[in-house]
Amino acid sequence: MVELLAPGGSVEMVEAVFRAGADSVYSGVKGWSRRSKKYEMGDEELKKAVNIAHDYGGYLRAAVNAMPKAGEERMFVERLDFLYSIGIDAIILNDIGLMRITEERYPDLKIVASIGASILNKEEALLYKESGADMFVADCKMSIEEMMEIKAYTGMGVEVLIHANTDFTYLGRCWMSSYKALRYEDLDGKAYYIGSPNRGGVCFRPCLFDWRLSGEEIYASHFQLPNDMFLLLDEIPEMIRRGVDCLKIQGREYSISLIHDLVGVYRRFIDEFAERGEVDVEAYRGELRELAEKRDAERLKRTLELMKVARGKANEI
Amino acid sequence: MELTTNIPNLEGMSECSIKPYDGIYLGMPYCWEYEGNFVSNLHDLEAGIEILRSLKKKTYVTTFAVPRNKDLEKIYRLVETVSDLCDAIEASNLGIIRYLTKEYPDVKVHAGGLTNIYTVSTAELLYSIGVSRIVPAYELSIEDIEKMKDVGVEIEVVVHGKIPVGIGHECFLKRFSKIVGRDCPKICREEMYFKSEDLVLKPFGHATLSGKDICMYEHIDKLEFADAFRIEAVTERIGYRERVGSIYRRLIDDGFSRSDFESLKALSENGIANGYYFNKAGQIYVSR
Repeated sequence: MVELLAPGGSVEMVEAVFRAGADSVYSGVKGWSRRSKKYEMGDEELKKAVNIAHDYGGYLRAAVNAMPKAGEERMFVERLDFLYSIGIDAIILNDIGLMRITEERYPDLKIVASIGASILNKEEALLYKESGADMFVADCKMSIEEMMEIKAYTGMGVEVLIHANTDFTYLGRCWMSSYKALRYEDLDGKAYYIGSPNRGGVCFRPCLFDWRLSGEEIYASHFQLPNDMFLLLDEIPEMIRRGVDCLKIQGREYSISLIHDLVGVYRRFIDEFAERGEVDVEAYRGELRELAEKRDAERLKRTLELMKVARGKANEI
Repeated sequence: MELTTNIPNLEGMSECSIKPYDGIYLGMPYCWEYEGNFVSNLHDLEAGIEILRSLKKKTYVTTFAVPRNKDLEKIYRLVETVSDLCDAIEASNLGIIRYLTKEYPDVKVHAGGLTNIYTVSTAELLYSIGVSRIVPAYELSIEDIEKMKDVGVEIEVVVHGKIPVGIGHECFLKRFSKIVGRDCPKICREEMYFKSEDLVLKPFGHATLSGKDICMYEHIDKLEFADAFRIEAVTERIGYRERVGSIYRRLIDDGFSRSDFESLKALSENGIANGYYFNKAGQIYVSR
C-alpha cells in the first residue's frame, strides 16, 4: 500500500501526524536540512521523534538535504553515525557525493534522493541509484508517465508531493533568494547560510515580490513570478494504481493543527480508495478547500516575515 | 591559464570576438528554441567546429542543461555527431554526464555550472566516473572551490558575465509575447529585465540570469588556482564578448589596468557583482 509521509517540524508535530494516521514522518537535522533551524531538531528531539514513530509502528526519515559547505564531509559522517545509532529508518539527501559516502558506510540504510536533487530524467536517476539512492522525490512538474518511466528504468521507488508549492524554477536549481540577500552564520561549527534554500533552507521568496518587466518600456508590472501552492486530490487514485510508492505532505513550518487535519483527510481518502477501489473525490474537496484557506493565511504571514529579513528589517527567521 | 567563453550560434562567430579566447563552448544550454542554437542545428554545429579548428581554438560543445526523458535522444544524436570532432563535451545534467562517461569513455567530459557540484565528495565522484573538468556550483565561495582542486579534476570558474540564478521547465518570458509584441524566438533578442526593489534579473529561455555582470577582474589573483577562466557571454552581443575577452586577455598577459576595469563597468548595463565568491549575497560587489 502507498505510504503517507508527513512533516515533523517538532516533536509535537511528529506525535500529531501519527495520531492522524501518517505511515511515516520526516524531520530535519539541525543545520542540515532545507528549512529554517526553527523547524529542525536537535539530537534529543530526534531521539524522541524516532521513538514516537516506532511506537506507532511507523518510520522516521531524517532530512539532511541542504548542501553542506565543501569539506564538511567529516562532520556529515559524524551526523550520519549518530542518526544510524538512534535507529532512523531512512535518510533524505540531496548531494550525490554524500549518498555514496552513506551507501558505503551503511548499505542497509534507505536513501531518498530529495526534491532538491531535482532529478529530471531516467539516466540521471540511474546515476543516483548507482550512488546509493533507493527512492527519488519526483519534481512537481513531472508527469506520471515520466515518473513511471524512471521507475521502470531504474527500479527506484517514487515519492510524490501532494501538498507543496511549485515554482517557475526547478527546486534545487534556484539561487534567486541568495542573490538578493545572504547571511552567513556558524552553527556549532557548521556553516549555515540564511537566504540560500540549497545551503541552509531559508528562502526569502523573492519570486513573490512585486515585479515589473522592463525593456524599451515597462511592458508589465505588479506581477509575481510563479510560486503556487497545491493540494492534489483527483490525481491520487491514478498515482496509487500506477505504482507511486509514497505520497508526501510538505509543511514543517505550518501549525500542528493544520498539518494534523491535512494528514487526517488524506488518510481517510487513501483508506477509502484501498477498501473500495474507488473514492468519492467530491466528499473530500470541500474539506481540503477549507484547509487550503488556513494554509494560505499561515503562509502569507510567514512570507511577510521572510521578506522583512531579506530587506534587513528583521533578523528572526 | 585557459580563457573560455560560449557562443550560441553561427551568427555569433566573428573572428574578432573569438580571438582573445583559448577555448570556446558552442551552444546555448538554456533553450532548445533559441534562434540558430548549435544544440538544435547540427549542420551549423559542424560548421562552427570547423571554424574553431581553423582558428586553432579548443573546441567544446555544450548540451541542453535541463533535459527530461523526452530530450535524451536528441542529445544523444548531438553527442554522436560531435564526439570525434570536438575537444570536450559539456553537460550540466548528471544523466547526460553518466551517458557520456559510459558510452564515450574516450571523450573528455566537462560538468557545467548547473550540475550543482557543492561538495568535495561530489567532485570526487564525478572525477572517478571520468569527468575531466568541473564548473563548481555558482553559489560557492572561493575557499569552497579551492578545496575541490585537491581532487585532481580541472576547475573552471566564471570570472565575468551573467550567471544563472534559476532554471526551470519553461520559458516564463513567452507568457509576455503578446504584450511585448514578439514571439519566440524573437522575444529573446530584446533586452528585457525583471525588476523589483534592488533586484534586476534577466529572463532567458528556461533560465533566469543575474541582471548584474559577475566581475572578478579586481580579484583575479584569488582565483589563480583554477585551470580555466570563463567569460559567460552566451546571451550577449558579439561586441561584448570581444571587448570583455580582450580585457581579460590583457589582464592575464599584462596585469591590472584601471582603465580596463572602468571599461568593464561601463559595459555592464546593470552594474557588477562578485556573485557568491566572498560568502555574500550574489548581487553585492566588494572592491579590492
